Amino acid sequence: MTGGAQTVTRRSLARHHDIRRQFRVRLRRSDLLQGLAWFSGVIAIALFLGDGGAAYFVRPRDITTGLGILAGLMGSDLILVMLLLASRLPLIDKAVGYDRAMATHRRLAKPAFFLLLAHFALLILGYGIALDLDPLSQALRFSTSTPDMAFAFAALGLVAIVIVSSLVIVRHRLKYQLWFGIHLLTYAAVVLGIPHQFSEGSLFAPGTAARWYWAALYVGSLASLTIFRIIIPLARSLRHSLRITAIDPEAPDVASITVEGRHLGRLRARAGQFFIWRFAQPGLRWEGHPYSLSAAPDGKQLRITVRSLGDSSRRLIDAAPCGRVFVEGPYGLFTTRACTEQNAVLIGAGIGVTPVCALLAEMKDVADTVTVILRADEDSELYLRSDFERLAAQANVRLHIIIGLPPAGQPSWLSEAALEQGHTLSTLAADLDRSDVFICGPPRWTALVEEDARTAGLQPQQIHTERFNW
Amino acid sequence: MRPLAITLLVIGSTATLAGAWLVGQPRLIEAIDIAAQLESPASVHSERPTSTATESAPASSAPARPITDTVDGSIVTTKYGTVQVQAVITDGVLTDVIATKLTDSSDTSIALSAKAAPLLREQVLAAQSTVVDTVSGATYTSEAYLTSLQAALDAAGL
Repeated sequence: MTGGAQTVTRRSLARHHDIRRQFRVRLRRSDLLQGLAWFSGVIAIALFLGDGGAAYFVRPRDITTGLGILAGLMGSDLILVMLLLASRLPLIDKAVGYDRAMATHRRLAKPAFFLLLAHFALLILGYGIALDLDPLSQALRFSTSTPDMAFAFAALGLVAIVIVSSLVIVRHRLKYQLWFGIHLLTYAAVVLGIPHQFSEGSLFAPGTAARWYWAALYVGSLASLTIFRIIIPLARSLRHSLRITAIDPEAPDVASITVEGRHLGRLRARAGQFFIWRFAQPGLRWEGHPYSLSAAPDGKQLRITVRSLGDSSRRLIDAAPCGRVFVEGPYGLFTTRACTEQNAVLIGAGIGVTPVCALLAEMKDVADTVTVILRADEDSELYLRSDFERLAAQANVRLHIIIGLPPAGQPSWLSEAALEQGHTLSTLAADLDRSDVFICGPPRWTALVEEDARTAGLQPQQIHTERFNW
Repeated sequence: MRPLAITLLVIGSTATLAGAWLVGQPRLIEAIDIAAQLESPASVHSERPTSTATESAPASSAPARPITDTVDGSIVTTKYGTVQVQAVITDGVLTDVIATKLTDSSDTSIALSAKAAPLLREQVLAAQSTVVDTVSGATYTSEAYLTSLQAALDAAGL
C-alpha cells in the first residue's frame, strides 16, 4: 500500500516539475511573439527615421505627406501581423492557441483599415498641397500615374467592398461560403497593394535596407500562409488518406462520425484539440468546419460528434459513410499541455462536451484529481453520457451531471436547482485553487463559468476555454 | 506579457529608434538647411551666377538647315518622386533639355527640383554630356535628371 502511494507521489512530483517547465516555455514563447509583433512596428518607424524621414516634419507643408507615409507603414505592418496570425504557424498555435491568435487577427482588422485609409487620404492631401491641386485632381493624377498606383487604388476599392458586404452579411446572416469568398478578396487586396510600395519612390527604393526588410516580410508571411494553410493540410490529408468509416447517431440531431486512415499517430493530435474538416460530400466540399475530437486520438481513428446546427451539418449527419475527408490541424491548446496545476476541472455544456470527453480520457491518467461537470437544460441534450460514465469509473475522477433550466432573470451557468442547493464552482470542485479549469460551451455560458472561476480566485493562466464547438 | 519582457521591449525599441535617428540625422540637417534656403529666395538666386558664364555656347554651331529631334529620356524613380526629361537635339547637338516630370513627393522636393532643373540644364548644355556636378541639396533629383537624359542621348546615338 505505502509503496503504491509513494509511486503516486513521485509521479505527481515529476508531473509538477513538467507542468512548471511547460508553462514557462509557453510564457516565454508567447512573450517573444508579442514582443516581436510590437517590435516590427518599431522597426518600421526606425527604417523611416534612418532614411531621414524626420525631414518631412521640418516644414509645415510637408507634414501631411510625412504622416501619410507613417500611416501607410503602420497599416502595412498590421496587415503583415494579421497575415501571420491567420497563417496557422505552428509556433503561434503552440504558444497562444488558435482562437487567441484569430481573436487578435480580428481585433487588428479595423485599426489596419483605418491606417490605410488615412495613408490614402493624407498622401492625396499632402501631394495636393505640394502641387497646388485639389484632392480630387490629385487622386486622379495618382490613380493614372503608374499601373502600380492603379493597382493600389483597386486594392482600396476591394477592401471597401469587403467591409460593406461584411456588414450586409452580418445583417442577413448569409452563408459561410459567401463570407469566406468575400474574405478571400482581402488577400487579393493585400497582394494588389504590394507593388506600389516598392515602386513609388518613398522608402523602399532599390538598394535600401527597408526594401529587403519589407520584401522578406511579405514573402515570409505569404509563404507561411500558403504552406501551413494549403500545402501541409493537403499533403497530410492525402498521406493519411482519411475516410469516414462510421456514422453513429447519439441523439435525434447528433451523430458521432468516425474517421480512419493510415498512420494516424503521425498526425500528433492531442485529446481536446480540433481540426477543420472538409468532407468530400456533394455540397460540402469547400466548407471547413471546426470540430473538436470527441474521443482521445488512439492512432487508429479519429472521432467527432456533430450536432446539426446549420444545413451543412445536417447533410453531414445524413451522409453515407464512405467519403474522403480533408483536414487542417490539429489546432488548439485545450490539452493537458496547457496545465499549470496538478488537478483539473473539466466543464462542458451542450455539444461543447465533446472536447471535454476527449480531454478527460487523457487527463484522468495524468492529473491527481479530475472533476467533470456536465451541464444541459434537459436530459436529451446531454451527449456522450455513456462515454463519460465509463471514463469516470476511475478512482480519481468525480462526475457531476447538472440538468435543468437556469434560473429565470438571473444569469448563471448552473441550473436553478443547483443554485438553490448553494452550489458554485468551488463547492463542486475540491482543490479548485490548485486546479486548471477547462471550459467548453456556448460563449455566454462560458463567460459565466469564467467569471465564477475568477471569483473563486483562480489566475488567468488556470482558466482554459474552447469556443469552437457548441 | 511579463514585466521583464515589456522592459526588454521598451529598452530595445528605444535603442533602435535612437540608432535610426542618428543614422537619419545627416538628411535631417540637410532638410533643415534647405528649408532655411527656401524661406529666403535671395539665397537661391545667389547660387545662379556660378554656371551662367557658359550659356548658349552650342547654338553657334547650328548649320543652315537644322534638323531638330526630340527624344524622351527614361523614367527614373527616386525616393522623392519620378523624373523624366526630353532631350532636344539639333543636328547632333544637344540644344535643350525639357524636364517633363520632376520629383514632387513633398513641397520641399518640388521647390528643390524647381531650383535644380535650370542649373542642371545649363551645365549639360555647356558640357554636351551628363558628366556634370550634381546640385547640392538635390542629389536625388540631379542623379535622376542626368540618368534620364543619358538614356535620351543614348537613344539618339549621341
